[in-house]
Amino acid sequence: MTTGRKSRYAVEARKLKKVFRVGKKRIVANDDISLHINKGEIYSILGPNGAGKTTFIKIVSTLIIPTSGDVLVDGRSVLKDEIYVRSCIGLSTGFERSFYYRLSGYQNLLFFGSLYGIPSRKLVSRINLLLEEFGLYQWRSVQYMKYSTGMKKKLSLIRALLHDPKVLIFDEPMSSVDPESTVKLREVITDLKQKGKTILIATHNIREAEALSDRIAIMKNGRIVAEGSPFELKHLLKKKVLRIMQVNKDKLNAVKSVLRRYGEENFTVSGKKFSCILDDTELLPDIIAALNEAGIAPSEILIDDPDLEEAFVSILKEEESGLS
Amino acid sequence: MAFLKKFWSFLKKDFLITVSYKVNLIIGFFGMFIGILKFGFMAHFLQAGNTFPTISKYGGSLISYLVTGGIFMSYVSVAMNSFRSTIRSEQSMGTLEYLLLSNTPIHQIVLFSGLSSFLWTTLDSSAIFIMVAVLFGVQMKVNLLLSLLILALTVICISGIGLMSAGIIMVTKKGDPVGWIFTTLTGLLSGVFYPVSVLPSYLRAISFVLPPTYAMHALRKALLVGASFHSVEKQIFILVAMSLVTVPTGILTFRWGFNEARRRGSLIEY
Repeated sequence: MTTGRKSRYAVEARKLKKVFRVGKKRIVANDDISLHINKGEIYSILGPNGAGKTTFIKIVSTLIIPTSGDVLVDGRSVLKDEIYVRSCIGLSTGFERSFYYRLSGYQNLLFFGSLYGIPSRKLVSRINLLLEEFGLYQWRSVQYMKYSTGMKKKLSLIRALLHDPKVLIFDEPMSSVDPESTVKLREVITDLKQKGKTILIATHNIREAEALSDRIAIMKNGRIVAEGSPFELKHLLKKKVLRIMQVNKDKLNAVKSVLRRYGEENFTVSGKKFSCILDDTELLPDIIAALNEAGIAPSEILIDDPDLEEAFVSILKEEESGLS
Repeated sequence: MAFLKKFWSFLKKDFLITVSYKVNLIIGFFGMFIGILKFGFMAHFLQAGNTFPTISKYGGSLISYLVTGGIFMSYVSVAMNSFRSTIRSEQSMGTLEYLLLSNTPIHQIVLFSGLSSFLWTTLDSSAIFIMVAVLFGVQMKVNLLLSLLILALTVICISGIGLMSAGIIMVTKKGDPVGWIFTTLTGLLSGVFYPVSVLPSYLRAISFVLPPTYAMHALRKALLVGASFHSVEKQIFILVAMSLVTVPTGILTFRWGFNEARRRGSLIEY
């Protein structure tokens, strides 16, 4: 395999823009994206459905041509050196229909592997090794259509690894996967990082991104609206969260009305757990006093840093209000 | 070597998938056999007590004439449709993007799948041709090498048009005027089921720009009267010349369609 031009980054997007035209409508899927992914890093693009994540990874994978800008993978352009770029990447999407249903898992891998030009003996031993590692060896002769969702995901990961690429790209790797398989897949991804692979993940699952990533980019409406480590993102807001762990239904409305009185509307209720991201922390003593009056004892109130999910929601809301 | 290995992988994959649908395989074979059989019976009925001077250059047997026409037409269909249906089938199975990522150029993917279809059709057609020939006592004097050469040239020439059709279908997704016009005109004007000489002059003029007209004529002569290379060299040169136009145009159109689909982000849409 030829090597890439000396590049500090595994992946680098430069002013990337992708516009789709649907009839007379113009949809900006990626808007002026500039980012870099360091070698050996796990980098997640986190965003709601329709944010432009899949478009971005398909551009990186040479499957979509950008409207303007460029992406370099191992220092080579996806526009000018697509053959080299393809040899550097392994892609695994959440899409189940990406194998031949009538062939077994082993036959599928043998077919796709042979297209990479891997010598037959080496390919067979690599397939067997990966099937063993992923716990699919005993299922190798079973037709793909009979595999469970978790097994299909694993097979997709194995295919992405067949040619030992430098950069692995996973689109929603844990979607529709049971908790046991999720744990296993997380282990696999972490293990790949330890082997020096660069991993790009597109996901809308915050827990998944937080558990795996060195850095996360939050994407909304095709733009990167925030970027940093999970820790940095949580503290990016410079806001505090008011939490009440046990709120009875009858007190819930009273709590909400107190907060609304102080202009705080960014709250979530999960069971009896109530959280509110405070826009103005200076009002905190007044809010606590008002809650006290509403029957919430100060001992029940916890002032905390936002978790990643709260930071994510808040960043997206700020972005939305900034746009409107 | 790597090229052949990849081709072998496609052949093996297609074989495994095809034989996994056993009933479909049998129905497909007998469907084609019965289709040709119909021509045999029709010709048998028409031949009784009659002579056909317009096909005397092919030996004069209507059965031989129609059976070769039927087999040829199925070949033309495969040549026209195999590339388009390869794209369609890989799109619907969701495998197209992964084939591309395997660093196999798109034209190779389409070519390997197309060739794999041709191989199947050749096997099918040969078996059916022999069965029908024995059944109806088709008179043949085969120049095998020449027949194979003409068949190969036909496939190459029509594949160019098939590639154009596949390129257009990548953008339009459904509805391909090139494929439709070409297949319709071939059946109508290329002398597949009746000689070109029976056509009015204005239609005959169109038949002369269709590669199957030359291919059909040369193939019949090679299969039925054992013609020499010399006697069909004009048709062979025309097929080569037409291939020099259709193949590059097909590749360019296909490349345009492929890149347009990548620009539109519609590679896997169908």
